[in-house]
Amino acid sequence: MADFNLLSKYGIAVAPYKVAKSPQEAASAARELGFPVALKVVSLTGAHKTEKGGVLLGIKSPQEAEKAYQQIASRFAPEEMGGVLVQKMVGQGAVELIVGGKKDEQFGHLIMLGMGGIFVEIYKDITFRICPISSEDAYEMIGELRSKAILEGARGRKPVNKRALVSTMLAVSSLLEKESPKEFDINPLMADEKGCVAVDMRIIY
Amino acid sequence: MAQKTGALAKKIANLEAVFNPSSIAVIGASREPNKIGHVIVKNFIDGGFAGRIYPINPNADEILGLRAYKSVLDVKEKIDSAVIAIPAQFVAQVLEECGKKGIKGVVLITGGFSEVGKHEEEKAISEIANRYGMALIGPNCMGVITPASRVDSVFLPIYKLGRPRVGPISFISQSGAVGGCIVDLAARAGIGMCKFVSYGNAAVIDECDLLEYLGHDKDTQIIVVYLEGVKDGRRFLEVSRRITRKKPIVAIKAGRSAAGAEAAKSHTGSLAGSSEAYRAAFKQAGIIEAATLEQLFDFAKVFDQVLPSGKRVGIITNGGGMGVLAVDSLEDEGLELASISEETAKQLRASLPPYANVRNPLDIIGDADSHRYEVALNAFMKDSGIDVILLIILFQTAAIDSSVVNIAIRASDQRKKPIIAVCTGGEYTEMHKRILESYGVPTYSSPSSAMRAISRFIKYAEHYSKYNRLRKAEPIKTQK
Repeated sequence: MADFNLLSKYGIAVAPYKVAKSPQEAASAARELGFPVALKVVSLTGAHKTEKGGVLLGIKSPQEAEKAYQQIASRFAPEEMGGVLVQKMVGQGAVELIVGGKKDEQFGHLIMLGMGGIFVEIYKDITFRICPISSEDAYEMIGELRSKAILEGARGRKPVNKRALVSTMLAVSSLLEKESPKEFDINPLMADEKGCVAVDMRIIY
Repeated sequence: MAQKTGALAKKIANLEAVFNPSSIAVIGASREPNKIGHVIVKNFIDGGFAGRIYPINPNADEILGLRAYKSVLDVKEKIDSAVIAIPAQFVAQVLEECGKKGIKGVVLITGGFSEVGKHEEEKAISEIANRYGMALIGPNCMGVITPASRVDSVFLPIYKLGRPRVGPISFISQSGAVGGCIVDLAARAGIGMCKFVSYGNAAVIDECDLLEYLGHDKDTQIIVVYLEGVKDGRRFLEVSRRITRKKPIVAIKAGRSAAGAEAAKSHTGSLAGSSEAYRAAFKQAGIIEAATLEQLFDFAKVFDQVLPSGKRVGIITNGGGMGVLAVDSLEDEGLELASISEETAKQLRASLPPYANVRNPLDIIGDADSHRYEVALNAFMKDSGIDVILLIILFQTAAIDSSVVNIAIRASDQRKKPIIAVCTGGEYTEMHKRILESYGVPTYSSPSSAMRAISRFIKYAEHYSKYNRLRKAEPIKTQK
């Protein structure tokens, strides 16, 4: 389940969103948030959203938003769908990261930083620490990524705001310790020169 | 809580009786040469243990020329420690007697407890040990070797399993088999060892207790750990983090539990297995991780040298190609190739033949003899722009002879800069490698294995200097 309020509670920036229960609500939410927006199914069963076509990106008008809502609704049974999340698309040109956590039997909570997106398991550019982490640990983790050059500003990009990333990681570390979830992902976390914004998350207790 | 802490402290203090007893009982001592209880008594005698040995056997009066006793309670004198090698069903009673006798340390070799599902029996054993505050190693273990005091409970014959010389490395192994063959290899390679312990099921004394003890042990300067798992992850992290501020720990974690074996519902869940957790713990504790058994001692032995004060490596070689390979590995490891100072270069030009190219790596050419090595080594020792010296010696040339070994050892004994040797070759080379190793010059078979160890060495020096003022030319502690 996604729970953006939980992220806000720990001071983690979330891309602005609204939940819509009908095509009309989706259109007005999109208008309020400003275009472009993304529409994502609010899954009640924890099914993989992307694979089932529950995520539509780059929606540029209220009409498109209405149509997108209908499309998503046609792909999910009513009982597995808790509406649609309309979210402002942020961080164009940002680096997609993943910050996650898992409860380990021996050591307690682990925190993970990695290159995010849908190919996390394929690139496996990830690194772990045991919670709680210090900011020194967080900087070390950033330095351990194979793709760290991308964060430093490869190919004319501006370097990612590391201080913001570190404070997001520290916030996740304390979230993991206090909320004690079994598994946790923020993916993607959009990181650019300005800061870090969570676009999607998943928490399993 | 305070009482618990006190009991723990006592148990750890009692480990001293296990590693350095002045008298020892071998319970299950036997007259039959192929019995474990025979080999243990024999190893204590042949190894030259200076303390008293009390063979315990209800059916013998004398074993290997020593008076045998029916029980430890029949011995009038004080006994510090006991090695127990009797069938599992008799262990509890004998252990109770050890407690009554005031024995502080026990090595319980006997298997057949939790490893075969007999958890209740194991609990009973640890209950007795804890009641008397005895430090009990095992059950189901090979026990301990302390080369300096000739304590040796390992039941493998000395002619089959070589015993290492006295040295700075202590080695904790969960597995007896892995531990045993590594000790054998270390002995052959000339690597020195301070304490070895195979701790088996860890019913009473576990890896963290042993780490605590070795962390405080003045003779132990380097700790090597073979782990399959730990009992308490948080304590392991806390204890080892404290120790690495004073001395290095090199560890290998065997066994990867499959990440996502149970259907993970998140990306992180599917990627985070137990290996990742251990690797993370090692990093946070400042533990040097070895990926293979070879690396375990490759990394550990480098710490016999003084800690480097930087990462600039100077390379001396009598074979150009080896220098090139060394530079490749140096780059792979992210280390820095030192630049030779003007003064050093001038000195070298004056003493080396005109066809030697004065730069780093310094190729002193295939016709180099020991004297030329001495000149090069002295110049590098003086150059403050060089933090670590990699000394490549190819013994195959006509000009080189065994005296080069003395030159390397003498330079290493100054303890001003770390000197790491690379000798690649067959029997003749191996012989010289072993001598170098025996005198504390870590010696490797290839530039890449040397450079991998050097990079761990430098990284640890940085870690160490965060918590200690790193005085130049100051070893962690000199022990020869």
